[in-house]
Amino acid sequence: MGHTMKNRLEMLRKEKGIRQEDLAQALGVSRQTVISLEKGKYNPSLSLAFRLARYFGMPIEAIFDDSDEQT
Amino acid sequence: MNHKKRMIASICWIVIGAALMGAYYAGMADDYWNGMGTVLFVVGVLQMIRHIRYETDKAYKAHVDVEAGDERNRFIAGRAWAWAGYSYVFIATAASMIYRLAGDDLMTQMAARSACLVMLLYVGSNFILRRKY
Repeated sequence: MGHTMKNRLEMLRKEKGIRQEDLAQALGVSRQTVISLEKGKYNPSLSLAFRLARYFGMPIEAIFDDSDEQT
Repeated sequence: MNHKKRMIASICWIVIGAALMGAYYAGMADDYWNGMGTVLFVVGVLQMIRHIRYETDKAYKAHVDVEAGDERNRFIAGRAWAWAGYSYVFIATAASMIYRLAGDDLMTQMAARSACLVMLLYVGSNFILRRKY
C-alpha cells in the first residue's frame, strides 16, 4: 500500500477516553492494527472504516481525510 | 480450515511422520524419508499442542481468533508472499548466472527454470484473480 490517508483516530480515541486495547476489541482487530491506523501506516478496509465510523458515531469523512494522501 | 479439521490434519501428520520414521528404522526407507517423517511428526505434535491450548485456554483462543481474523495481518501475509515471490525470482535468476559462470549446467537450468515457473505461476494467478474480482 503506497498511499495512506490522514486520520483523526488517535484524537477521537483520546477524546472518548478509551485505550487502544479497548478500541481494538470493539472493532475485532488486533491492538497493533489500531496502532498502525493511528500512525497512518495502514489504510483500513471499507468494512473496518464503517465499523470505526459507527463506533465513533460520525461519518467516515469525519475520521479519514483522503484530500492530501501521504506517499 | 476450522480447528476440528486442523486437529485431524495434525493427527495425519503425526501418523504419516511416525510411519515414515518406522519405515526407516525397519530398513525400508532411506535418510530422506526419515528426515521427512521427523519433520512431519514434529510439526504435527506442535500443531496438536497449539490446538489443545486453543480448546482449553479461553484467553489464548480469543487472542488467536483476533489475530487470525485481523485484516492487517492478512494484508501483511499477502505482501510477504508477494515479496517472497519477487525475491525468489531475482535470487534464482542471479544464481543461474553464477552457476553458468561456474560451468554447472544442471544447476544453471534448475535455477533458471524455477524462476520461470514462479513467473508462470504469477501470470496464471493474475489471470484467475482478474476473472474473479
